[in-house]
Amino acid sequence: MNCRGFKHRLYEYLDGTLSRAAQVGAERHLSGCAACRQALRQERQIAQSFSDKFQRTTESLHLPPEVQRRVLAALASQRGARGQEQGIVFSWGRLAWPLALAASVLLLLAGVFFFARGPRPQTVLPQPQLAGGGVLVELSYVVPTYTFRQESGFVIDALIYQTNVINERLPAELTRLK
Amino acid sequence: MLEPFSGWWHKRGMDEEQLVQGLRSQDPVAVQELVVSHGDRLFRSACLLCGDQAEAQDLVQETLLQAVRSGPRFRGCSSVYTWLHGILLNLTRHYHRDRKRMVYDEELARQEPAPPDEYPSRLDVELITGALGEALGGLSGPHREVLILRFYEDMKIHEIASHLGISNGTVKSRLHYAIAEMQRRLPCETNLFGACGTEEKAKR
Repeated sequence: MNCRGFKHRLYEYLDGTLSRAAQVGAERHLSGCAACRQALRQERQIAQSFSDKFQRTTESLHLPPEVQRRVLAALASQRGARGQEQGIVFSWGRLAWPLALAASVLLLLAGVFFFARGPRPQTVLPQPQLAGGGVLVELSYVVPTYTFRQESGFVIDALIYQTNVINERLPAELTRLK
Repeated sequence: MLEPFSGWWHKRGMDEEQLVQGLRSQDPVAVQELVVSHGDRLFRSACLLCGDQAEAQDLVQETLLQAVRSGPRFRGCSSVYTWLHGILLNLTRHYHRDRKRMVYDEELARQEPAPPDEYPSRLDVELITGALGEALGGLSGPHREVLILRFYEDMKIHEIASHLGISNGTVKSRLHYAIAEMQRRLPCETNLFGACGTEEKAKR
Protein backbone atom coordinates (compact mmCIF):
# COMPACT_ATOMS: atom_id res chain seq x y z
CA MET A 1 0.00 0.00 0.00
CA ASN A 2 1.36 3.45 -0.89
CA CYS A 3 0.55 6.85 0.63
CA ARG A 4 -2.28 7.51 -1.79
CA GLY A 5 -3.85 4.13 -1.07
CA PHE A 6 -3.55 4.67 2.68
CA LYS A 7 -5.11 8.14 2.57
CA HIS A 8 -7.92 6.76 0.45
CA ARG A 9 -8.65 4.20 3.16
CA LEU A 10 -7.86 6.42 6.14
CA TYR A 11 -11.46 6.66 7.43
CA GLU A 12 -12.01 2.92 7.10
CA TYR A 13 -8.73 2.36 8.95
CA LEU A 14 -9.95 4.62 11.78
CA ASP A 15 -13.29 2.81 11.80
CA GLY A 16 -11.61 -0.60 11.87
CA THR A 17 -13.67 -1.72 8.89
CA LEU A 18 -10.81 -2.62 6.53
CA SER A 19 -10.47 -6.20 5.38
CA ARG A 20 -7.80 -8.23 7.14
CA ALA A 21 -5.44 -8.03 4.17
CA ALA A 22 -5.96 -4.26 3.78
CA GLN A 23 -5.44 -3.80 7.51
CA VAL A 24 -2.12 -5.64 7.39
CA GLY A 25 -1.10 -3.60 4.33
CA ALA A 26 -2.01 -0.34 6.08
CA GLU A 27 -0.07 -1.30 9.23
CA ARG A 28 2.96 -2.20 7.16
CA HIS A 29 2.78 1.11 5.29
CA LEU A 30 2.34 3.12 8.50
CA SER A 31 5.40 1.53 10.08
CA GLY A 32 7.55 2.96 7.33
CA CYS A 33 5.79 6.27 6.49
CA ALA A 34 6.09 9.20 8.89
CA ALA A 35 3.84 11.44 6.77
CA CYS A 36 0.93 8.99 6.91
CA ARG A 37 1.45 8.47 10.65
CA GLN A 38 1.19 12.24 11.02
CA ALA A 39 -1.94 12.34 8.85
CA LEU A 40 -3.49 9.59 10.97
CA ARG A 41 -2.61 11.39 14.21
CA GLN A 42 -4.07 14.63 12.88
CA GLU A 43 -7.28 12.92 11.79
CA ARG A 44 -7.68 11.40 15.27
CA GLN A 45 -7.14 14.82 16.87
CA ILE A 46 -9.68 16.42 14.58
CA ALA A 47 -12.22 13.71 15.38
CA GLN A 48 -11.61 14.09 19.11
CA SER A 49 -11.85 17.89 18.94
CA PHE A 50 -15.10 17.88 17.00
CA SER A 51 -16.57 15.24 19.26
CA ASP A 52 -15.58 17.14 22.44
CA LYS A 53 -16.85 20.44 21.08
CA PHE A 54 -20.22 18.99 20.03
CA GLN A 55 -20.62 17.24 23.38
CA ARG A 56 -19.68 20.34 25.40
CA THR A 57 -21.98 22.60 23.41
CA THR A 58 -25.00 20.37 23.76
CA GLU A 59 -24.56 18.57 27.09
CA SER A 60 -26.70 21.07 29.01
CA LEU A 61 -29.56 20.80 26.53
CA HIS A 62 -32.49 18.67 27.63
CA LEU A 63 -35.71 17.93 25.86
CA PRO A 64 -38.42 19.95 27.66
CA PRO A 65 -40.85 17.73 29.59
CA GLU A 66 -43.85 19.20 27.75
CA VAL A 67 -42.72 17.37 24.61
CA GLN A 68 -43.15 14.06 26.41
CA ARG A 69 -46.58 15.15 27.66
CA ARG A 70 -47.65 16.21 24.16
CA VAL A 71 -46.47 12.95 22.61
CA LEU A 72 -48.26 10.87 25.24
CA ALA A 73 -51.41 13.00 24.85
CA ALA A 74 -51.30 12.49 21.07
CA LEU A 75 -50.92 8.75 21.60
CA ALA A 76 -53.86 8.69 24.03
CA SER A 77 -56.05 10.57 21.56
CA GLN A 78 -54.97 8.27 18.72
CA ARG A 79 -55.75 5.20 20.81
CA GLY A 80 -59.07 6.73 21.83
CA ALA A 81 -60.04 7.35 18.20
CA ARG A 82 -59.03 3.83 17.22
CA GLY A 83 -60.89 2.43 20.22
CA GLN A 84 -64.07 4.15 19.04
CA GLU A 85 -63.62 2.72 15.55
CA GLN A 86 -63.04 -0.70 17.06
CA GLY A 87 -66.16 -0.21 19.16
CA ILE A 88 -68.26 0.24 16.04
CA VAL A 89 -66.72 -2.78 14.40
CA PHE A 90 -67.09 -4.76 17.60
CA SER A 91 -70.81 -4.03 17.89
CA TRP A 92 -71.30 -5.30 14.35
CA GLY A 93 -69.16 -8.27 15.22
CA ARG A 94 -71.40 -9.03 18.16
CA LEU A 95 -74.42 -8.98 15.88
CA ALA A 96 -72.76 -11.04 13.18
CA TRP A 97 -73.25 -14.44 14.82
CA PRO A 98 -76.92 -14.01 15.78
CA LEU A 99 -77.64 -12.62 12.30
CA ALA A 100 -75.89 -15.52 10.61
CA LEU A 101 -77.71 -18.02 12.81
CA ALA A 102 -81.07 -16.39 12.13
CA ALA A 103 -80.38 -16.41 8.38
CA SER A 104 -79.46 -20.11 8.55
CA VAL A 105 -82.65 -20.98 10.44
CA LEU A 106 -84.73 -18.99 7.96
CA LEU A 107 -83.12 -20.77 5.02
CA LEU A 108 -83.65 -24.11 6.69
CA LEU A 109 -87.31 -23.40 7.39
CA ALA A 110 -87.79 -22.16 3.83
CA GLY A 111 -86.21 -25.37 2.56
CA VAL A 112 -88.40 -27.54 4.78
CA PHE A 113 -91.50 -25.60 3.76
CA PHE A 114 -90.62 -25.82 0.06
CA PHE A 115 -89.91 -29.54 0.10
CA ALA A 116 -92.95 -30.25 2.24
CA ARG A 117 -95.09 -28.64 -0.42
CA GLY A 118 -92.88 -29.29 -3.43
CA PRO A 119 -93.04 -32.97 -4.25
CA ARG A 120 -96.84 -33.24 -4.46
CA PRO A 121 -98.57 -36.57 -4.26
CA GLN A 122 -98.38 -38.19 -7.63
CA THR A 123 -101.44 -39.89 -8.79
CA VAL A 124 -100.97 -42.69 -11.20
CA LEU A 125 -103.34 -42.70 -14.06
CA PRO A 126 -106.21 -45.07 -13.47
CA GLN A 127 -105.33 -48.56 -14.43
CA PRO A 128 -107.55 -50.54 -16.64
CA GLN A 129 -110.76 -51.40 -14.97
CA LEU A 130 -110.81 -54.43 -12.84
CA ALA A 131 -113.42 -56.99 -12.83
CA GLY A 132 -116.48 -55.74 -10.92
CA GLY A 133 -116.11 -52.14 -12.11
CA GLY A 134 -113.35 -51.00 -9.64
CA VAL A 135 -110.07 -49.21 -10.51
CA LEU A 136 -106.66 -49.99 -9.06
CA VAL A 137 -104.96 -46.73 -7.98
CA GLU A 138 -101.31 -46.36 -6.98
CA LEU A 139 -100.59 -43.27 -4.86
CA SER A 140 -97.11 -42.18 -3.86
CA TYR A 141 -96.19 -39.30 -1.59
CA VAL A 142 -93.08 -37.93 0.12
CA VAL A 143 -92.78 -37.35 3.85
CA PRO A 144 -89.93 -35.03 4.86
CA THR A 145 -88.45 -35.57 8.32
CA TYR A 146 -86.10 -33.05 9.91
CA THR A 147 -83.95 -34.34 12.75
CA PHE A 148 -81.10 -32.92 14.71
CA ARG A 149 -78.78 -34.15 17.41
CA GLN A 150 -75.88 -32.74 19.46
CA GLU A 151 -72.44 -34.28 19.32
CA SER A 152 -69.47 -32.85 21.24
CA GLY A 153 -70.62 -29.29 21.06
CA PHE A 154 -71.86 -29.44 17.45
CA VAL A 155 -75.45 -29.58 16.31
CA ILE A 156 -75.86 -32.02 13.43
CA ASP A 157 -79.08 -31.77 11.49
CA ALA A 158 -80.52 -33.95 8.73
CA LEU A 159 -83.46 -33.69 6.36
CA ILE A 160 -84.73 -37.10 5.20
CA TYR A 161 -87.42 -37.70 2.59
CA GLN A 162 -89.37 -40.94 2.75
CA THR A 163 -91.53 -41.92 -0.22
CA ASN A 164 -94.64 -43.88 0.65
CA VAL A 165 -96.65 -45.77 -1.97
CA ILE A 166 -100.27 -46.79 -1.48
CA ASN A 167 -102.02 -49.18 -3.78
CA GLU A 168 -105.79 -48.98 -3.38
CA ARG A 169 -108.75 -50.25 -5.28
CA LEU A 170 -111.23 -47.54 -6.04
CA PRO A 171 -114.81 -48.74 -6.01
CA ALA A 172 -116.76 -48.47 -9.27
CA GLU A 173 -119.06 -45.76 -7.80
CA LEU A 174 -116.16 -43.36 -7.25
CA THR A 175 -114.74 -43.79 -10.71
CA ARG A 176 -118.00 -42.49 -12.13
CA LEU A 177 -117.81 -39.17 -10.24
CA LYS A 178 -115.92 -37.28 -12.96
CA MET B 1 -47.51 -2.64 48.94
CA LEU B 2 -47.25 -4.15 45.50
CA GLU B 3 -46.58 -1.83 42.62
CA PRO B 4 -48.39 -2.17 39.32
CA PHE B 5 -46.50 -4.43 36.94
CA SER B 6 -46.21 -1.77 34.23
CA GLY B 7 -44.60 0.66 36.68
CA TRP B 8 -42.12 -1.96 37.80
CA TRP B 9 -41.29 -2.75 34.18
CA HIS B 10 -40.76 0.90 33.34
CA LYS B 11 -38.54 1.43 36.37
CA ARG B 12 -36.24 -1.36 35.29
CA GLY B 13 -36.08 0.09 31.77
CA MET B 14 -36.75 -1.79 28.58
CA ASP B 15 -34.21 -3.40 26.37
CA GLU B 16 -34.28 -2.66 22.65
CA GLU B 17 -36.47 -5.65 21.81
CA GLN B 18 -39.06 -4.83 24.46
CA LEU B 19 -39.07 -1.23 23.27
CA VAL B 20 -39.70 -2.30 19.66
CA GLN B 21 -42.50 -4.64 20.74
CA GLY B 22 -44.02 -1.88 22.85
CA LEU B 23 -43.85 0.61 19.99
CA ARG B 24 -45.49 -1.85 17.62
CA SER B 25 -48.40 -2.21 20.01
CA GLN B 26 -48.29 1.54 20.78
CA ASP B 27 -47.89 0.87 24.46
CA PRO B 28 -47.78 4.21 26.37
CA VAL B 29 -45.08 2.83 28.67
CA ALA B 30 -42.89 2.09 25.65
CA VAL B 31 -43.52 5.55 24.21
CA GLN B 32 -42.56 7.09 27.54
CA GLU B 33 -39.42 4.96 27.57
CA LEU B 34 -38.67 6.10 24.01
CA VAL B 35 -38.81 9.75 25.04
CA VAL B 36 -36.83 9.20 28.23
CA SER B 37 -34.08 7.11 26.65
CA HIS B 38 -33.67 8.90 23.30
CA GLY B 39 -35.28 12.32 23.70
CA ASP B 40 -32.27 14.28 24.95
CA ARG B 41 -29.82 12.81 22.47
CA LEU B 42 -32.23 13.40 19.62
CA PHE B 43 -32.85 16.96 20.79
CA ARG B 44 -29.13 17.74 20.92
CA SER B 45 -28.61 16.32 17.48
CA ALA B 46 -31.54 18.39 16.20
CA CYS B 47 -30.03 21.53 17.77
CA LEU B 48 -26.77 20.91 15.91
CA LEU B 49 -28.59 20.16 12.68
CA CYS B 50 -30.87 23.19 12.64
CA GLY B 51 -29.05 25.56 15.03
CA ASP B 52 -32.19 26.72 16.76
CA GLN B 53 -33.43 25.30 20.07
CA ALA B 54 -37.11 26.11 19.56
CA GLU B 55 -37.10 24.62 16.09
CA ALA B 56 -35.18 21.62 17.38
CA GLN B 57 -37.87 21.08 20.02
CA ASP B 58 -40.59 21.15 17.37
CA LEU B 59 -38.60 18.84 15.12
CA VAL B 60 -38.05 16.31 17.90
CA GLN B 61 -41.68 16.46 18.93
CA GLU B 62 -42.76 15.81 15.34
CA THR B 63 -40.16 13.04 15.05
CA LEU B 64 -41.54 11.31 18.14
CA LEU B 65 -45.13 11.73 16.96
CA GLN B 66 -44.28 10.23 13.58
CA ALA B 67 -42.45 7.41 15.32
CA VAL B 68 -45.48 6.67 17.50
CA ARG B 69 -47.79 6.75 14.48
CA SER B 70 -45.57 4.49 12.38
CA GLY B 71 -44.48 2.30 15.33
CA PRO B 72 -46.63 -0.67 14.26
CA ARG B 73 -44.86 -0.65 10.87
CA PHE B 74 -41.32 -0.48 12.32
CA ARG B 75 -39.55 -3.62 11.10
CA GLY B 76 -36.59 -3.36 13.45
CA CYS B 77 -33.97 -3.47 10.66
CA SER B 78 -31.98 -0.76 12.43
CA SER B 79 -31.68 0.36 16.03
CA VAL B 80 -34.55 2.43 17.40
CA TYR B 81 -32.32 5.50 17.67
CA THR B 82 -31.10 5.19 14.06
CA TRP B 83 -34.73 4.89 12.94
CA LEU B 84 -35.67 7.99 14.96
CA HIS B 85 -32.69 9.91 13.61
CA GLY B 86 -33.71 9.04 10.06
CA ILE B 87 -37.13 10.60 10.67
CA LEU B 88 -35.46 13.64 12.26
CA LEU B 89 -33.15 14.08 9.25
CA ASN B 90 -36.08 14.05 6.84
CA LEU B 91 -37.96 16.60 8.91
CA THR B 92 -34.87 18.78 9.22
CA ARG B 93 -34.39 18.78 5.44
CA HIS B 94 -37.99 19.94 5.02
CA TYR B 95 -37.41 22.58 7.65
CA HIS B 96 -34.36 23.95 5.84
CA ARG B 97 -36.20 23.84 2.51
CA ASP B 98 -39.09 25.79 4.02
CA ARG B 99 -36.75 28.35 5.54
CA LYS B 100 -35.20 29.02 2.16
CA ARG B 101 -38.66 29.82 0.85
CA MET B 102 -39.44 32.12 3.76
CA VAL B 103 -40.09 35.73 2.79
CA TYR B 104 -39.41 38.25 5.51
CA ASP B 105 -42.20 40.66 6.06
CA GLU B 106 -41.03 44.18 6.82
CA GLU B 107 -44.16 44.83 8.84
CA LEU B 108 -43.27 41.98 11.16
CA ALA B 109 -39.75 43.29 11.53
CA ARG B 110 -41.09 46.68 12.69
CA GLN B 111 -43.37 45.18 15.32
CA GLU B 112 -42.62 45.54 19.00
CA PRO B 113 -40.06 43.14 20.42
CA ALA B 114 -41.41 39.91 21.84
CA PRO B 115 -41.81 39.59 25.63
CA PRO B 116 -38.78 38.21 27.49
CA ASP B 117 -40.31 34.72 27.79
CA GLU B 118 -40.31 34.40 24.04
CA TYR B 119 -36.64 35.19 23.67
CA PRO B 120 -34.43 32.20 23.00
CA SER B 121 -32.65 30.89 26.05
CA ARG B 122 -29.01 31.67 26.75
CA LEU B 123 -27.93 28.32 25.40
CA ASP B 124 -29.96 28.90 22.33
CA VAL B 125 -28.30 32.21 21.69
CA GLU B 126 -24.96 30.61 22.34
CA LEU B 127 -25.71 27.81 19.94
CA ILE B 128 -26.88 30.13 17.20
CA THR B 129 -24.38 32.91 17.58
CA GLY B 130 -21.41 30.97 18.97
CA ALA B 131 -18.46 30.22 16.80
CA LEU B 132 -19.46 26.60 16.35
CA GLY B 133 -23.04 27.52 15.49
CA GLU B 134 -21.88 30.07 12.95
CA ALA B 135 -19.43 27.69 11.37
CA LEU B 136 -22.04 24.91 11.22
CA GLY B 137 -24.58 27.34 9.84
CA GLY B 138 -22.17 28.20 7.04
CA LEU B 139 -22.07 24.61 5.85
CA SER B 140 -24.58 23.26 3.38
CA GLY B 141 -27.16 20.80 4.77
CA PRO B 142 -25.48 17.66 3.33
CA HIS B 143 -22.07 18.67 4.68
CA ARG B 144 -23.49 19.52 8.09
CA GLU B 145 -25.35 16.19 8.26
CA VAL B 146 -22.23 14.18 7.51
CA LEU B 147 -20.16 16.12 10.05
CA ILE B 148 -22.72 15.66 12.83
CA LEU B 149 -23.33 12.01 12.05
CA ARG B 150 -19.61 11.37 12.12
CA PHE B 151 -18.52 13.33 15.16
CA TYR B 152 -21.66 13.65 17.26
CA GLU B 153 -23.47 10.41 16.46
CA ASP B 154 -20.13 8.62 16.20
CA MET B 155 -21.13 6.70 13.09
CA LYS B 156 -18.74 4.81 10.86
CA ILE B 157 -18.42 5.78 7.19
CA HIS B 158 -20.53 2.88 5.91
CA GLU B 159 -23.18 3.56 8.55
CA ILE B 160 -23.45 7.19 7.46
CA ALA B 161 -23.66 6.06 3.84
CA SER B 162 -26.45 3.65 4.65
CA HIS B 163 -28.26 6.21 6.82
CA LEU B 164 -28.18 8.88 4.11
CA GLY B 165 -28.56 6.53 1.16
CA ILE B 166 -25.32 7.66 -0.51
CA SER B 167 -22.04 5.94 -1.36
CA ASN B 168 -19.05 5.62 0.98
CA GLY B 169 -17.05 7.76 -1.44
CA THR B 170 -19.61 10.57 -1.28
CA VAL B 171 -19.57 10.43 2.52
CA LYS B 172 -15.78 10.70 2.62
CA SER B 173 -15.77 13.50 0.08
CA ARG B 174 -18.41 15.50 2.01
CA LEU B 175 -16.68 14.85 5.29
CA HIS B 176 -13.34 15.98 3.93
CA TYR B 177 -14.88 19.19 2.59
CA ALA B 178 -16.88 19.84 5.79
CA ILE B 179 -13.81 19.46 8.02
CA ALA B 180 -11.76 21.76 5.81
CA GLU B 181 -14.58 24.30 5.74
CA MET B 182 -15.02 24.20 9.53
CA GLN B 183 -11.31 24.72 10.05
CA ARG B 184 -11.40 27.64 7.67
CA ARG B 185 -14.49 29.22 9.20
CA LEU B 186 -13.69 28.89 12.87
CA PRO B 187 -11.79 31.95 14.05
CA CYS B 188 -8.33 31.35 15.38
CA GLU B 189 -9.17 32.37 18.97
CA THR B 190 -12.03 29.90 19.32
CA ASN B 191 -10.55 27.14 17.21
CA LEU B 192 -10.49 24.13 19.49
CA PHE B 193 -8.85 21.87 17.00
CA GLY B 194 -5.41 22.48 18.40
CA ALA B 195 -4.27 24.94 15.77
CA CYS B 196 -5.65 27.66 13.57
CA GLY B 197 -7.38 26.86 10.32
CA THR B 198 -5.55 25.23 7.49
CA GLU B 199 -5.19 28.52 5.66
CA GLU B 200 -3.60 30.08 8.72
CA LYS B 201 -1.26 27.14 8.97
CA ALA B 202 -0.31 27.48 5.35
CA LYS B 203 0.49 31.17 5.86
CA ARG B 204 2.84 30.31 8.70
